[in-house]
Amino acid sequence: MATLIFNGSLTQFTNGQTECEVHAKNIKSLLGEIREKFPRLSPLIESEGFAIAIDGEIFQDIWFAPISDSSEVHLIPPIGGG
Amino acid sequence: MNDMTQTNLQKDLKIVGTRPLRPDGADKVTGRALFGADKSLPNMLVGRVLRSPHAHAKIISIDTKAAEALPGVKAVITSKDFQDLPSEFVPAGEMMVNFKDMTRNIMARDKVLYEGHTVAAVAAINDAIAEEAMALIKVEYELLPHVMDVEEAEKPNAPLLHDDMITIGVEPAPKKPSNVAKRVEFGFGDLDKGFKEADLIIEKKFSTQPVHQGYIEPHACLASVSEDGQGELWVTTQGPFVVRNFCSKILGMSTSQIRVTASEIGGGFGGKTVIYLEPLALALSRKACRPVKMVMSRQEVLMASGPTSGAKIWVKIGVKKDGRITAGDAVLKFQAGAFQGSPIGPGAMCAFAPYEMTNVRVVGYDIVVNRPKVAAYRAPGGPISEYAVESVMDEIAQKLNLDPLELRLKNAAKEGTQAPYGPKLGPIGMIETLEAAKAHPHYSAPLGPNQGRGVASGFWFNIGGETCTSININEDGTVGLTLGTPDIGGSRASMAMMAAEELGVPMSTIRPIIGDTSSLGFNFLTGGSRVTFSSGMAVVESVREIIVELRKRAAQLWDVSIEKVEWVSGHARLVGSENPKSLSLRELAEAAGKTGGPIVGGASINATGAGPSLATHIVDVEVDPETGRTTVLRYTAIQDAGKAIHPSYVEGQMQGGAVQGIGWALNEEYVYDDNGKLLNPGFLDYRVPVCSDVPMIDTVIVEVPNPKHPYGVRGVGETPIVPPLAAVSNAVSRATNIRFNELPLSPPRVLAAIESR
Amino acid sequence: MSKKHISTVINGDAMEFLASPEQSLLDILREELELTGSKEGCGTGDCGACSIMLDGRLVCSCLVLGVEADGKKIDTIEGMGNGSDMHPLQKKFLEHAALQCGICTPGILIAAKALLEKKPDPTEEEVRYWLAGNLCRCTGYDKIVRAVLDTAADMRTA
Repeated sequence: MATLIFNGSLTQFTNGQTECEVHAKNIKSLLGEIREKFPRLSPLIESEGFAIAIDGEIFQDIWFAPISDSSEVHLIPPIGGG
Repeated sequence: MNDMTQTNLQKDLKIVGTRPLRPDGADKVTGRALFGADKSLPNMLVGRVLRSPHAHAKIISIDTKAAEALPGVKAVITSKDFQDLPSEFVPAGEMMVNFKDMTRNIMARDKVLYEGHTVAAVAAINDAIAEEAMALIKVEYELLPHVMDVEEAEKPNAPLLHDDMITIGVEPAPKKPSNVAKRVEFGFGDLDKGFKEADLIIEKKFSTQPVHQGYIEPHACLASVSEDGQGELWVTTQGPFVVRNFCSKILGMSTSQIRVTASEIGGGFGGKTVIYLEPLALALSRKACRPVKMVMSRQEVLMASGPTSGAKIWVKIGVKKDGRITAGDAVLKFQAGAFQGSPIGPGAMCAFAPYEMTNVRVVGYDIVVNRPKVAAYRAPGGPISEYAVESVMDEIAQKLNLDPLELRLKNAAKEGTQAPYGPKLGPIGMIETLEAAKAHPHYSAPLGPNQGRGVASGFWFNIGGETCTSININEDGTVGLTLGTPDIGGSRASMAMMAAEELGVPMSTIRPIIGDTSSLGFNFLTGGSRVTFSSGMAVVESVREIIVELRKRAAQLWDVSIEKVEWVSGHARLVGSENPKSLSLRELAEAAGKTGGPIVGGASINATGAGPSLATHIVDVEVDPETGRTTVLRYTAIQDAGKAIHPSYVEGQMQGGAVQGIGWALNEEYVYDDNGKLLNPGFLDYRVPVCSDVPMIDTVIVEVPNPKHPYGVRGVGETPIVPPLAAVSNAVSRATNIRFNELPLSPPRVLAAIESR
Repeated sequence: MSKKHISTVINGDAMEFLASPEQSLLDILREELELTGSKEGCGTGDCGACSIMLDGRLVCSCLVLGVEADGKKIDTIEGMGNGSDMHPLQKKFLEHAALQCGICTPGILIAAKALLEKKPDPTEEEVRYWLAGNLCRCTGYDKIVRAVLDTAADMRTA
């Protein structure tokens, strides 16, 4: 089971939970799991957009980036540039 | 995902890392290259924009009848010509843009929210008639009180810009609307514990002003919509595919109906990742059924196109006597301009990112004010938050009598460090740039009276993103390379270099072009320091794919299996044979038709694995105690590029970003009167650095390869603007022995501080 | 108001055009004569992107009226090279990578050429002050100054 970690203000939407074990094997299924487990968090990240860091590597808008059993996963705002 | 593990580090590189002439160079030094305003079409009309003279007002009525009746006027548009779009966020630069907001920014609906906000547009047979038509448009306004400052805008009775704005990111959501669009927070650890452990705590408030990206070429486009609804758009932009996407949404057209060709671009820096004139030109053209050319004046650029945020920043850092950081806390309040979307997220994430933190918290607020909507500007958000943190670090170094570089080395982030926004960092060059700074002769050069030296480091993420390239082997063995990311700094050269290196052919045989939106699949825009990384990755993948095809053709010709054929130095070679056989690229190309058809390849990726680029800058200044004027005496920029494909263009990014940062630190700001009207919408009084303001910018390129790119590339374009704000401010502080906490450090401000010392 | 008939010599060629009284010389060059090498960056003479030579004098063409050009000799970026043989400044700019986006480059080249014709041996400071009227936002001016100094050195020994 990979570990999903909630940083900072996201914990407001997860009843204070800072970590959670997830079954998801990729980002798409992770989003589904978040929708189920943290219904108040889901609309925030889906409307605002987000990036996901899997073991430190940042993925933006990529559904099938693989999540392994030992992965550490973070939700962060999307990053673009100028 | 890409399995483009970097494989070329150890190879003896022949082209990558050298400094060939850029393939588009002759056109650029002879005036032949065509920029946004350089194209015309037969039967063309001139489009002009009518803008609000007020910072905040309701639009009671707009009467365009007289304008429409003026001979020579072929179309007039207002918000009636655009559908109202629902709230939907899409990426633009580093900010999520809301289509409901975008529709209102390109053309005001019931309210104007900043001086310069578009109210109507006309297309006429010449500029004089268009101008006359604009004067005939009668707009009735009901003035509203306006607000320009984030702290004023937060107050409970502040004028409200949007009556449906409920702060996002706060749970439970506020019941009443406000001007606070969003709250973000990052961090981990125990701040109280961290501060209790500190031997020294410094807490400071900082203030920065909005600054414009300052591209010398104003926004310009030429739109042509035919009677059958097909549209062509020539436009100066960092993202033709993004422009197509946005315009088709706003105009209710399908994506395939608009074909966007990116002109050469006269500077962007993030400011040309959004749309202003483009949907107006298309709408006017659609109405008039004639091409419409629209160009902004410099006044319009400064009044109505996005600067970056001005901000208020609080930073509190606790350290042990030996300089180790025990806790870091920051609050950022960024101006979004008239609509939500300041770079508060990345700004908050970057603030402490150069350092290994155990207890850290950054809270950020995106706040709307009656100013033009902000747009991305080179490492959006980063320079602002890092300016404040790097200033406090310098003050800590002074108070503890520690060398400022040593202080940073003690706390430097490295591979495996947990970033303040959560994930662990991959390999980065923070320590390497600090060591290079320490060892640089600049750092130990003597200083004279009224002179001071400042250092600062900087962090920026860099991005990957959707990228599509195609490659064709011509009949004579030369190569055509089509890219989808506009070239804003010399990237055509780097792409051709990487292709030539992979193929093993001279660079001169490769002709790179930027394709229009009909020639390639979607490419995300040029920005986020992504082109050398992402387009480079796609180019390498395209070439590797075409090499497989070339080996197949050779195998066919030699009647062997493909495993027996290798590709070396631009030739197919039969492996391990006593009679060495080889076929050149040219020979294979000449036989292409006979062996199966044209030899083409391409790549379509969503590039991932972009690594952050770290930098450390050193600057010496002299401050005239009688005038408060700061002269930059010497500047050294040190940055980790991963791998410099073309060192001259990497140096160019470092130098250009440093000088923009110098302008941000010393001169640039918007001056508004009490009515929210801009007093300095021109280059005379919006003072960007000129040639005589700056010395040579010495550069040191450090290379800590990014393992996720075939050549180890890290984006470099944005990081250079991050350190200069604090580096210059720290230098001025050291020169005057006064700690400054606001930008710009223009002579009146510095002088006032010196005189009250 | 009717247009005025104007006769000039541009880059060595006799050229005629009609100018409205309010048109700048820059407008004429770009719109009437399709010489788009000179650029409009500000329209108020602050950025130098429209730099040309008017009777041997370096000017911002956005500050000259089209009608003022009557009987005068104009040199623009399009006339800087000699056929396919580029001016030494143009070649050095490419060698030194003294341009990134290239929008300021025509104006800077015209200004730099005027400097070297007037002063073949400028110091770095003289180059910087001479070019202070030409804004560049991309390069930070470093490679531009190096290219000009290098060209000056080359031209002196040529």
